[in-house]
Amino acid sequence: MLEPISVSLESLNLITLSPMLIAIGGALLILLIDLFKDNLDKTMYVMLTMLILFIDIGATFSLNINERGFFDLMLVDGISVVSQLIILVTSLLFIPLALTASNNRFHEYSYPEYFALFLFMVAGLQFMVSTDNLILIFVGLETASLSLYTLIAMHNTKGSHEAAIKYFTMGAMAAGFFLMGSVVVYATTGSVELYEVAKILQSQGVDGLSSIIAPLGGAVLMLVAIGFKVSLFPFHMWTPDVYEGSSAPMAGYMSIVPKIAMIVVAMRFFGIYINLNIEAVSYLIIIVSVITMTLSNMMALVQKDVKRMLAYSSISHAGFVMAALALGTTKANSSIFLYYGLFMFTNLGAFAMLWISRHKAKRFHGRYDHPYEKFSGMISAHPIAAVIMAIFMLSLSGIPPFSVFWGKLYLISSVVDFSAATGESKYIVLAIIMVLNSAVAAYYYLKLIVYMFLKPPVNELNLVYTNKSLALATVIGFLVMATILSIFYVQPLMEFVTYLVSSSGY
Amino acid sequence: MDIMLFSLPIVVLLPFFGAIVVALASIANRIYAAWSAIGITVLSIACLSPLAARVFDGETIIQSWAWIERAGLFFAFRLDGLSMFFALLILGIGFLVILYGRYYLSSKDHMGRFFAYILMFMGSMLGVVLSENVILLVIFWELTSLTSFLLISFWQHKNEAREGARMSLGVTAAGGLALLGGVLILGHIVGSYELSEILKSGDIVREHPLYLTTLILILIGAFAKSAQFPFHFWLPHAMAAPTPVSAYLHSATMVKAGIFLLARLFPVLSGTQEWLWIVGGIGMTTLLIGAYTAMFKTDLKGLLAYSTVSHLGLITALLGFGSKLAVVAALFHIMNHAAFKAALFMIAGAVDHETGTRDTRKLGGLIKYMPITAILAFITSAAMAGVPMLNGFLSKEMFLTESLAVSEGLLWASIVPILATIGSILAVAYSIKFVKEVFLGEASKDIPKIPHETPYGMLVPIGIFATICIAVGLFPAFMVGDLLGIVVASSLQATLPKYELALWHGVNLPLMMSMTALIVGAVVYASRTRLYRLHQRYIESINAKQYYDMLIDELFALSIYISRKFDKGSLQHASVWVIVSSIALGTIGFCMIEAPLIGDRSMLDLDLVTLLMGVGLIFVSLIMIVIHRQRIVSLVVVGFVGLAISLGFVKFSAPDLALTQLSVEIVTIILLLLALYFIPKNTPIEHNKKRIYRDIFISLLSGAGITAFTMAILTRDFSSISNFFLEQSVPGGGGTNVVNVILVDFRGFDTLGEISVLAIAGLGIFAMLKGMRLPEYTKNCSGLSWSDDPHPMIMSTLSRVLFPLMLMFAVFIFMRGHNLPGGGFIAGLIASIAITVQYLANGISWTQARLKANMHMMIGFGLLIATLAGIGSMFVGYPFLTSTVGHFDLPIVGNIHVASAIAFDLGVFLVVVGVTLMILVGIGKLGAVAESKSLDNKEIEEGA
Repeated sequence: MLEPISVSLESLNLITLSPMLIAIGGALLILLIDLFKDNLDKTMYVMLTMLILFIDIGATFSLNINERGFFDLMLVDGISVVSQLIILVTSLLFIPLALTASNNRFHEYSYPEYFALFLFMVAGLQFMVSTDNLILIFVGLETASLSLYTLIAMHNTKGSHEAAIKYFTMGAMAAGFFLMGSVVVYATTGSVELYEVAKILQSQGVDGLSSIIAPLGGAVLMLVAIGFKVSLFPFHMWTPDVYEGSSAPMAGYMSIVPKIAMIVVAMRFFGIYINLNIEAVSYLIIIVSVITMTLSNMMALVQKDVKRMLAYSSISHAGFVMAALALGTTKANSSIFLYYGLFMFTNLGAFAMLWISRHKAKRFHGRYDHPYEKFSGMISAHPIAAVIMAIFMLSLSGIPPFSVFWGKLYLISSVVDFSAATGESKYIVLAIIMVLNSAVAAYYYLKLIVYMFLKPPVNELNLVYTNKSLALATVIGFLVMATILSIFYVQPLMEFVTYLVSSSGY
Repeated sequence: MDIMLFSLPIVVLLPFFGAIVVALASIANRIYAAWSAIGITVLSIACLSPLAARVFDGETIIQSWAWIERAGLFFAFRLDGLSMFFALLILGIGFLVILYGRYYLSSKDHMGRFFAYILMFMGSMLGVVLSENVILLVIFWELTSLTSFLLISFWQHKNEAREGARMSLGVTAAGGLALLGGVLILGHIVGSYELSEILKSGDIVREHPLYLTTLILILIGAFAKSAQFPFHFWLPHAMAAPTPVSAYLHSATMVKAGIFLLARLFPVLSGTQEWLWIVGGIGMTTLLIGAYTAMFKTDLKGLLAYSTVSHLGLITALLGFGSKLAVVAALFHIMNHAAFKAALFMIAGAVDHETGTRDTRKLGGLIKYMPITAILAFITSAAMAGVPMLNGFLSKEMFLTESLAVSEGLLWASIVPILATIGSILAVAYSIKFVKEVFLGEASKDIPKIPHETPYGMLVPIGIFATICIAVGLFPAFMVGDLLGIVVASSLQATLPKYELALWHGVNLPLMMSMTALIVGAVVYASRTRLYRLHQRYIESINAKQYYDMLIDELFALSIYISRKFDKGSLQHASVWVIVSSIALGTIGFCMIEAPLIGDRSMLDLDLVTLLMGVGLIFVSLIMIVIHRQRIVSLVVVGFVGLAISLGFVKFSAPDLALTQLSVEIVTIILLLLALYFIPKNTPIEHNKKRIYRDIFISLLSGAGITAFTMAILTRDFSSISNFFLEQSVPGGGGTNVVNVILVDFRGFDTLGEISVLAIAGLGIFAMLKGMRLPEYTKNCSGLSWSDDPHPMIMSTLSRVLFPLMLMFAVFIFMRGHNLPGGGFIAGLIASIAITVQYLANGISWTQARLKANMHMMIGFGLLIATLAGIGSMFVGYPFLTSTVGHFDLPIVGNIHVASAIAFDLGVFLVVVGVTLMILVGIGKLGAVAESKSLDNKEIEEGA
């Protein structure tokens, strides 16, 4: 018989778990309510989920930075807090998009399970970013991914099933890569705790670098897994199909939240290598991200469907961000969060605008639901909607003073600064590639503006806009204001993010 | 004077604010919109003028506030000679353009919107020229692109406006992004984004290795904006805009922004060979191309557009020459060009307004109808041609002088003055064409409208410009001498060169060139028919837009090619890429570091028998897989490989590993078998040889990669590292018993997590199965039909007898769970097997009619009970999920040990039963369609 071991509650520091527990508890609450009461108005679940997310945000704000908890499994540091905030705020903006016009509700939102699964996914993502234990990261990743596959499938069109299966199959393969990478790291260092791994690799010093080949292999495997989730080229191939198959808000959500969670993991994992000055790893990341931003930009150029275009463009944005990750400076790392924070408003807004135009039964076109033609002449039929969409497009192309511009500015200047600090002019080449890519990207975003503002309208304009409801209008209004007025809050936001990132040592 | 401390931001922001005022005013009355716009402009001038005196004293006024410091962005403005000149140009011409526009716009046009756009554009332009911080400058720069897009597309119903607006926005906005890159690098070289710092650091910048990169990026931005070769094609296409817009944007202000930037950064970037070659060369090229094309344009505004391109080229070329005097000439020509070209655009607009056409082939003899307009046109186009006594002449003289100066002492460079003269000749020719074909000659009969004299409101601005042209032409030193002085001084950031503004410099070479240009120009115009023919035959087909289109087409073709390669929507294809690129990444990474692949740890001995066994097994199964077409059999054969590996483990004395490998292998195969149900039984024969070879190649490659990688890991000694970890984990990890703690006391926590995940997975599978249809198999793969009795009597009878026994066993396992192997999980599985057997033996409809429990409910209850059990302990003051223990004596079962955890176990039990049944029944139902066909109707009725 084992001796009873007493572990005091204080030493567990359960507060570090509180945000996830709130999400999980909320999900269970929703399932329970469904258990006892069957015929509740589904709007209530939306409200309940929002309430839970609000509480969750509160709990995240009240976390103390740089604390560990639960046998040191949990790590609440600055990047964990900032990424959790991005995840939660995006979720909070995503959920009310369920409330489409009452004659045009989509059936996935009528299942309480949808909201429960959603909250489980949020919790999984929160776990992913709040730990540096590879196993817990994996558990969080899988919880989130499995829920996400289901959420996609629940949209329940032919396309959404295909999307879910594709995502699932590729996701399983990526999970395999993640596990193999973790195993290699464990085999070479004897630990799955990243801070231990860092210490051990550090202690080997220069002599040990001959054996670096194994951790390097681990990093490559990890890069594949992370590249899948962040959709880096050529691990991105699921992205356009999955976005097209899932509902527009879900696609917008996927272009931000799972990516930011995986980027945090990447930051923790590759941060070890970058701190050790293992250049091979940072070069690999840069190569992948340059290929990502360039090729996906070119592919976005020739898309005929706005949703697919946005899918490719979000791949390209991810490539942008990953390039900064390879630098490992505080400025570069905080610019990543700033970028995603600002990108979130715009991109979610753009997808929400597509969502508004989605008709439940009628598709615009046999192959695509959102071809450019659908939006032609929108300025005369729905001037406000056209202006809002145009603002989102301008912001995405990085034109000041809209939100993404600030992210882009800060990101590129962090690359330039890095090259100044290291005296390596090849990073300037990276900055130039980033700039040129933004210039190319401007072309396809403007294409939509041209369609909306300058082309004559198509006959079936009643197809645009069937989903409009007060809830959607509110969310979109908020998003567009956040995009336009970013000029006023970007400074404090930048201070906040930089403080959090630098305090956690990244 | 307090307000003077932030008067510069006010000047810039006032027009933006004014845009709102104008929009509001237009609701009341459309004419109010025009007047309020004029009022706003005057107010801005008033704000600016008190500072002018200080600027004339040579002071540079900087008003700066910190804004986004981390990005180097300050809300900082700068007023010196150069920026004041441009600000006055923007405001002054803006004033006249608004006045003109008030009469120009027809009653159908939305005046409020138009003037709001104009004011927004004005504000952005002011921002560009008054910015002290270069990032701020870029922001305003992009804003001018946006607002100009709105203005150009003002008449959206026109097809050409669409194309023009899109092209101009595309080119200039993309150029702006390049500029952003250049500015960031410039700031990083200097260490500050403030112009005052940057302007002082010319030497540092020029000697920096990144100088050329910076220069090119900034020039791309500037040239795109100023429509310089090779970006010159967008300007003529933007001419679809209303005329006041063309006059304002495309002659006076926006296209000058690029030139402004060159003049602004002149002290930093100029003075190198690169600068001379790129800027001077592109300037001269643009000058010639623009002038040449202008001559053949039949659209009045097209002609003016290309002439603008050419004049901008002239200014660029002057800046490119790089001497101080050239800068004087450049800035002087900016002033002059702004005056005569704005007037000419307005005249073109007036003609269009009155006659309804701008086509020179239709127009003619308008002097009869609109004499005042005609006279003004004579004056201003003479200024454009460079006729003496007018302002254009003076700056053109200076240009010719500088072109001679730059070629001094170099034989090949004497081509520069020759080219300059050719440019002047062409300028004369198109100026004559403008006047002659519109106002002189025979009155045409094709004119859509009977023209009248231009309204006075439109004539006044034109008249003012024409007066300026004459006054500056006659008394240059008096009119603009002082202004030019401070403008040049602030552009150069150095002492003024010696120059003289005067009409008459004596008979010299430039004068001769000017005269030649006037005469030859007239001759060229006279022989235009022959020239047109030559032009049509050889040159017309050459068009820069064509190359732009070609470039775009190529880019698109490449993009389509890439999309076709990578966007196939095929999973197979996607996974091939994932595998291949991970191999590639690994190889690249390996090449980058200097480490041997194989480490120095000695390998174990291997006897021949083992080797042969292993290789033999693998080889045999490989052949089986390749030859066999039946998927299920192939899959089982794949399992051989795993078995071979576990044999290997046994051989190397690791039976536990062997067992693990064995069970993992079997479970994996079974899971895969389940998945196989959904795909056809047989593998189709792959006929594509290329594909087969590709797949074989990729498999071998990835196998080799994994082998190499495994070798690399296994041949290195890691024991030292593990020791290090063990030493560290005691002080670092909080005790060696960490694992124990988790296992013993907090197991419950894990389990709660596990059942939650299980519940999620169950719901997920359930949701996924919902819309699914399974293929119906009436025959097995060898062609025998399935038995038509799905529920044999013996089995269903037996199963009903067994059911209570199985449930009893489940309860027994559940109860003893805390001390002996068992518990909620196992018991749940047993119970669900018991129920599943009923489904199997008696059919879904039969069982469901008797088992009415809702599985969703069951899962929910399970989770609830488990959570409550955990929370319960918290109420008593213990941590979450702590258990208390008690002993009870029950008959038969004996002494049982009831922990509060038993409630928790019950939750686990319910979740397991719920999830298992939900999934299995869900899968079973998929076959129900098939089943219902073979069942008789009676049973279906029973189910309903």
